[in-house]
Amino acid sequence: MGLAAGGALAGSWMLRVPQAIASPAPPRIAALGWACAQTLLALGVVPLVIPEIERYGRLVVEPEIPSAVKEIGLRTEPNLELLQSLAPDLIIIDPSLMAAMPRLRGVAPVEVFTIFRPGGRPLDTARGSTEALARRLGIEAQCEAYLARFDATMAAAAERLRRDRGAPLYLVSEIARNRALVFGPNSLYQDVLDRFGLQNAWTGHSGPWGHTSVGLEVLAAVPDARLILMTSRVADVQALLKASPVLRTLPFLRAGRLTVLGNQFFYGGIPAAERFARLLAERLPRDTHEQG
Amino acid sequence: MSKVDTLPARSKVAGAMHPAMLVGLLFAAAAVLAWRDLSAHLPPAAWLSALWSPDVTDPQQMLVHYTVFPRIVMALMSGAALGLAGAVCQQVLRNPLAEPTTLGVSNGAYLALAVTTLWAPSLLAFGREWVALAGGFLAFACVFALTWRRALSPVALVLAGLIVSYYCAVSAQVLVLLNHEYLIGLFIWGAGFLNQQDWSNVAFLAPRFAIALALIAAMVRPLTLLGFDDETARNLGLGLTGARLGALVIAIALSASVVSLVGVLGFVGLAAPALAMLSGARRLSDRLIWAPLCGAGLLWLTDGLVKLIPPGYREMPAGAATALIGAPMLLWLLPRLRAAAPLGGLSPSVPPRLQHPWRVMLGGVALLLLMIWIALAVGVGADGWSWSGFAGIQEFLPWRWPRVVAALSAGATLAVAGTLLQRMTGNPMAAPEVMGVSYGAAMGVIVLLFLFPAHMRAAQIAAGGIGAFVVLALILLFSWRSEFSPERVLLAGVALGAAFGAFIAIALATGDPRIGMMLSLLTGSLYQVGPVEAAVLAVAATMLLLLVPMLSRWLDILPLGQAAARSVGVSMMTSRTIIMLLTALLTATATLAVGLLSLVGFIAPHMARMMGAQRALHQAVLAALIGAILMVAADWAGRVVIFPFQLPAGIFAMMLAGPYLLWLSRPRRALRSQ
Repeated sequence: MGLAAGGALAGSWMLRVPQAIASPAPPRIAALGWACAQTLLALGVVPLVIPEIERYGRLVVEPEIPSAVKEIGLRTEPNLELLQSLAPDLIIIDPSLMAAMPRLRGVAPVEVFTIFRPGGRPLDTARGSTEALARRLGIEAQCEAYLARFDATMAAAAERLRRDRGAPLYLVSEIARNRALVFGPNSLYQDVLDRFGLQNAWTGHSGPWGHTSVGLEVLAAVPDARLILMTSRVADVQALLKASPVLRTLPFLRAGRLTVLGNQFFYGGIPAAERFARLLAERLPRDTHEQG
Repeated sequence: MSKVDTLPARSKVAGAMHPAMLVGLLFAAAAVLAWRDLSAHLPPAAWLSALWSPDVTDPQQMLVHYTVFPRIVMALMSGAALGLAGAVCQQVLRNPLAEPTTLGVSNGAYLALAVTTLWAPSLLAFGREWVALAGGFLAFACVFALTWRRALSPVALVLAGLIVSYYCAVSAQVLVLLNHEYLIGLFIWGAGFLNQQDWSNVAFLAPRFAIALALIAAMVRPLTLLGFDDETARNLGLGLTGARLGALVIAIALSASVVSLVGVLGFVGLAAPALAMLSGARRLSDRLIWAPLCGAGLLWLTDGLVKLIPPGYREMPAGAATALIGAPMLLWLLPRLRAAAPLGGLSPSVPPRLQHPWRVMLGGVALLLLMIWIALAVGVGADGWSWSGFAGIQEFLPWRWPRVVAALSAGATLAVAGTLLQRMTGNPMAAPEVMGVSYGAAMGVIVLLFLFPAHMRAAQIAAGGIGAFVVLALILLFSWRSEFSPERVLLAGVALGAAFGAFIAIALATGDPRIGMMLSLLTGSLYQVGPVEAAVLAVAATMLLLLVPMLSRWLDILPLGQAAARSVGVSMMTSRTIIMLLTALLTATATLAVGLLSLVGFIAPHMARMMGAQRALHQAVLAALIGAILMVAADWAGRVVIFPFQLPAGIFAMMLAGPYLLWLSRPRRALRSQ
């Protein structure tokens, strides 16, 4: 179960919002984390407030936040005074906000939306959390439809990527001067790669959140690898490639085996996995076969 | 008057230790590790050819030539450069805690890189090192401009340096808080990784290091004279300002070059000269030789140890690891630090004494009450600014009063802790934030954050408390036998602080999503403070603060020096133990609520002193008021300025107080340097 209780979930079904989706007053939900906000939007529920909306637009990108949603401040410190004056019916948080839970409960009932848990597969956890959230809101049907759409997208993407199963992929989100942030076996993306039968070139340790920083020279260990760059700051990367002799010597960069996916939300739920999968299926075959 | 090393006759060399022994040990251990690392790649017979003319078709040779060897050279040279820069700074500033970082270099570079990354990333392609260098120098230029008129007096330099340094740090924190996803590259740099991919960094640093070395060698005499007090140095025919400026510019340039290439390795600059001195290099000319060697050995060994961690595991940055390894060494050698006279010279310019201290304090109380009322009644809501009437206050009171009470208690507590510490040690750099206690508290919370991603606030408090007390116990343990001599207490605190700071840097460099939470804890956010906690904090603070008046006689006497204190029958051991304990308790209490970076404990005592409070009790009370006003104002500002976002109070406290402190420390009447 992804939707862990803040203590009182099990008995809170009476708080369940009525089934009627078209009812005049939909529930006023405060989504205080990006993963839950993104999932709610994907399920067709528009939250009352979301934190750091502007940055969400740049980093999480999709689903887009409608303009009616209000800003609630930092993800680490959502504004409590504003929250109280908006009087939500339900508050959904990431586990990182647990410390503020007692005070949030004073405003409205609180649910925790989990993606990463020790030993769990992020994509499975996200699926469970999404289903639990839908049950809580009484929108199981929408959830089922959404997950079916997601599975269809994944199947289509897997089909497109069938020819690209050869070379392993490095998933990198950031290249600093001499180090890169690389994603490993317990990241959300590993689950996606597994579904496609693709191989992650980084098999080392990758921390509780699926990523770690390594020296660039370490990446040279898999010379036939391709590099998947998960950032929208491509202009910087290309300038960096031009300026840095070090980067130019990396085999996959020298051969131009580089695919740029744009910003990705590493800690996201199903919608984040979907965005990654879709862009990968769109761009990897194109880049691979164009460059021969 | 105020230096640690110009009385060789008095020094009784404890044991027959020579710095060569320490350096030899460091190098031997590092060499063994390097041997092991190299053998893993190539047989020893092939090493030389890999170094000079690698076989292009052999990947192992290429790897050794372009990554292993440059990394060793870089570790040695960076360590030596930082050690040298640190030794020069400590000499010029006459403060064993000084290093180029003290003058704003690292934090200036950090801020410059943060700004460039966010707004002009294409500049980074030209070379991160130039941006970082420019930032480091810009920060030093500010320090320089602020102290020029006081002939760059050491105390003024240290004060201005710390303020500029923390100002940069705090400004960078704001950027980081609001953009931490974009700044992972910056964190990685900030942690100080030594990975090399070619010889370009070595080629960049080598000529600079050689030039600096030659210049410093030519300056040994003026540098020695700078260690005396200004009167003596001038009588011996030294142009003080020119000599200081020259020496500092060299040290800064050297350390900025290193920082720009490999990131923040701050602890080396502090530890290397200290290790050299503690292992027997008493004279300046000795230290200028042994400090760079200690630095080189320390960094090389550290990097060797870091590389022992099997690849694939989380790699540890050398910068942070140096602190983890160097801190215990420093602690181990600490008992060798002989007791020196208190640093004295606390005031850069002697402010006129307050004529009516109690009137000023009453004014302070009035200002505090006004600030409290504003903090409770004025806010921003969904519809913009609102000035709540007495009825309106009630709606938001449950959110606002715990923050106000916590800010007030923490501000006063830190300010008094700082006063006690500065009085006891006679070191103007002393502050509860500089001592390890607050790092300990933060460390406890961070460990909790990483072990249990989801946890309750009570656990946070408990973890912070445990961390603070572990560090306190360690400091007491390491300075016990020396009767808590100020230098040892401070060095022990700084060493522990550096070790814990290293953990924080490592945590940042992982790019963990909980960074946001951690940053707000570190920068003094009152967001998490609930009613119960605020009440407990207030009660604890009140009880502790009531003890201070009982210590006021000691606090008046201790700054006069050991001899004076003994002659009026004050036991050093007892008085210092009690003051230390109280300081640590005060700090731990406040840190739990407001985190690390507030710097109120550094600023408020200085402000009180510069306003003319000379008696210990006056200074403590005035500092407490200033601290409380600052924190309440800062917390309120942090809540309203970029609503609905919030900035930690620690950030605003620094922003509000920094300029005022600089204004207060302006030269008055006749220029009296020191």
